[in-house]
Amino acid sequence: MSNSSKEKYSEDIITITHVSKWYGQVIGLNDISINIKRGITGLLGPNGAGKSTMFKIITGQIKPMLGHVKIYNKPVWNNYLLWEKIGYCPEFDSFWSELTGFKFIYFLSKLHGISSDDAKKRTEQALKLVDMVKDSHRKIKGYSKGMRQRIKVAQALVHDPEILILDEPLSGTDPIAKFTLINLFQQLESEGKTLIISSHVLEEVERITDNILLIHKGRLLAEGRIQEIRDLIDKYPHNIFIKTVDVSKLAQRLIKESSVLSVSKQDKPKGLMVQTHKPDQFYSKIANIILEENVEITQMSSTDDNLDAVFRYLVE
Amino acid sequence: MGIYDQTYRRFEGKLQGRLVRITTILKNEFMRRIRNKWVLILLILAWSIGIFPIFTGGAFMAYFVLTFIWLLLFTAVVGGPILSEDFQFNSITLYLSRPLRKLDYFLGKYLTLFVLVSLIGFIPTIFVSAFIIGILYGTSVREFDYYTFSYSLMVVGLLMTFVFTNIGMAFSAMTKNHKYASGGIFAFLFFTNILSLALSNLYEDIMYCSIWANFMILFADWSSAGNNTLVDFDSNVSLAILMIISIICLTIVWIKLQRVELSE
Amino acid sequence: MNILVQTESLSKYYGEVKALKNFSVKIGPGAIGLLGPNGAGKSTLIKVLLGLIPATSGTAHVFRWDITQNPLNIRQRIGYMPEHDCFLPDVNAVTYLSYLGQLSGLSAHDAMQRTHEALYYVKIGDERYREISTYSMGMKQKIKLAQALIHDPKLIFLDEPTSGLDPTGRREMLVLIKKIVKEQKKNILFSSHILTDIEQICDNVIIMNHGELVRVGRLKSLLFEKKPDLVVRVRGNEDRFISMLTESGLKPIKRKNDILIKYSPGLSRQILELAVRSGVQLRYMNSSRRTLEELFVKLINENENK
Repeated sequence: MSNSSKEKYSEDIITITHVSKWYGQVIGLNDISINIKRGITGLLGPNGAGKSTMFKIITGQIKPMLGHVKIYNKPVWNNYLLWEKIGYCPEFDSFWSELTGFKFIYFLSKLHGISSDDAKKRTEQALKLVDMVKDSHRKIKGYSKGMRQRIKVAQALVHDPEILILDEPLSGTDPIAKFTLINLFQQLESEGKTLIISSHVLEEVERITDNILLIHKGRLLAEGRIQEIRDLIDKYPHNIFIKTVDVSKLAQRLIKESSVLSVSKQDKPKGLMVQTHKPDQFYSKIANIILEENVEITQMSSTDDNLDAVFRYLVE
Repeated sequence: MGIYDQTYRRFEGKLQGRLVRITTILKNEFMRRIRNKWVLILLILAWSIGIFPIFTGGAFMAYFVLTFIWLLLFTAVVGGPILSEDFQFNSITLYLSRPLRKLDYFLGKYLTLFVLVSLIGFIPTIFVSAFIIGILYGTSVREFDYYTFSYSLMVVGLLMTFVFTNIGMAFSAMTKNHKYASGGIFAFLFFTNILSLALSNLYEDIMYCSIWANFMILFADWSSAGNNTLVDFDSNVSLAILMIISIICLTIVWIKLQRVELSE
Repeated sequence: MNILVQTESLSKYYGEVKALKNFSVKIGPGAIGLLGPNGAGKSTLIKVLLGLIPATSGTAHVFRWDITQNPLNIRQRIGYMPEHDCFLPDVNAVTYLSYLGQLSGLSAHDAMQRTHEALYYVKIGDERYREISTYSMGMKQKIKLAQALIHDPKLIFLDEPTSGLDPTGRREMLVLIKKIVKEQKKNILFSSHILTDIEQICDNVIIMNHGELVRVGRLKSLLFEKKPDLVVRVRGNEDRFISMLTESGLKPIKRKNDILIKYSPGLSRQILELAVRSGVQLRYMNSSRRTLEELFVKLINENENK
């Protein structure tokens, strides 16, 4: 979403205030406060960080020990009417595998209180969105992992909720299913819906959104846009690769810059690796410097201005 | 002098043959089963209570009954998981993806179960025979041909071990859940025996359905110990029945092993 | 070129279902990716090559040996890291690995020595003395990899090695696999649904669908673009920058996080100039390479429509 349309939708949909939850002595979530806006938010964290607990609290399945969660400014706990607006795709396979995909979703849609005729139509629609129409009349126990994931997403969609909570929806899916689902999520985002998606594959999260929440050991570690978070990590200077053949010429010029910490030559591929601890200053000047030196460059990219680096620097 | 490479190295060593690989399975599996506390408890109980009657002088029927009960329990406990655990935990894939023939895998597992079951089925008979021959050597107690008696005891013991191993392997091969396998072994042995013995008053030939009875018939015949109630039965039939059961069991195991890769 | 694996019209039918259909391929040394939608036949192919299931028709040779005549020789030189869990309960890593090493024919002493070596290589420390059931997913995957390495195979089949791992675990596993390929120069057949992993590790790919071969070739050539478009990221007055691009006769397309500019000669220089002129910070510039995912989706769709 561009910056301008983000402002239009910048109201807080889900507000989590000072939520803490522990299991016996084991901490699940430790004083978490976040406001989630419309659009897609990626939820990341190592195993055991508390993502599933977070999802269960947002969907009202468990009650936090401290704090509360509100959706559209109404408390979530015990609020059945609010649950209508939420679709949840859990991590684990909780199926009745003897049912066909169609019957399973149909049954769940009836549980939402949808009338029989409407339920049939909506089930077909949901199946179409996840591209499972062809196999919907086979039993679930014969499905591959990718198909099961799609059925799970379909059941979260069938009652047309405004908010979707998806716990690892892409895990185990083949590339075709992944492509279908990612397009679906982006489509839903453009329709103004709110999605929270968790995944362990960081490249996939980057494809879907650049707004992320990083949880570690039950605490909120970072939130916001990936590039902005990266800029805040001072401890690690940015590494920027510039692909050029005029290596020495450019290196000599760049080392004179105050924003540049170090310049090293690289061979495969041929170019320069520049380290800077003042990325803003560097980027403001680099285009001009290159033109002044009359050097030909074919690539300029930061090797660690991505989610993988952010995760690594913050968690490890 | 120098700094040495710490990474992974090539392997240029010698490789071992088939026999070593089979015995490796035997050793490893045996150690795993023996460490189970139930197995040890059953073993200790079987050896102490089961064999005890022998030494009190001649309560051989008691010995056979108790041995049978211990064998039944023991085979259920160690036999249940012997193959089904590999199916359940998918370790069968690891075995078969190694340079190991299916036959070698089968032999390794079979010998493991055989050796374990023989701890109750066969090994005690050696001690008992030794005891009898030792005590009664030189004497001629009540027209008792103790040599034949001892030999038949050991042969029947060996046969019991063989048949029980086959039954254990078959049930274990049929399911992924070792509890079902154990239950199946126990149920099969227990109920066939109880029912046949109970119904034997109505219809004598039902006795052939009892595995225990078949062993007794054979023992009675071979040792000429002359137990009157068994004298009417034909030991050849008993032997045939036991062999048929064994062949069926081994066939089941073989079919299952051939088909195993299709299930995953 | 030295051929490691060669199949000729290899087929495997399960009744009506054709898991492999006349599959013919030549696999050379290096790191090869094996891709395909679910049910494409990837696992079936691996199992047939390992000799775990018999083929219905056709032939295959691994290391010049026929898979039906010499399965043991083949398996001696292949390591297999299955997708699913495959552990013996209540044993620790050392027992597990040395047992499997011995089953691969190593003597007890060799197996023990190599067990510890393999465990150090995959970076498992003192946890090796604990039962495997207490391990995290990441450690379990490493143990699975170690058992595929212990007998020093020439070719290793890796089936979804990063599945179920969190980002840290994934990175460690990929670093390890890269080490195996680049430093130990082992040959691997890497089957995965996560195409970015394959892009990182493999030089060649085999793409399958419905049991058939869709495409095989070098990744670099499959993804090569002769006239690549450029992808650019700027910070500042983006709209001004874009309008200046358009005025100069270029074709910029504004995307979610960046700008895609259609190929034209001398493009990079123009972009630098226009960035300076419009006063934006140029933060990223790179050729818009095709991704493996785009190629994959395109090829599979074409294959489906045939």
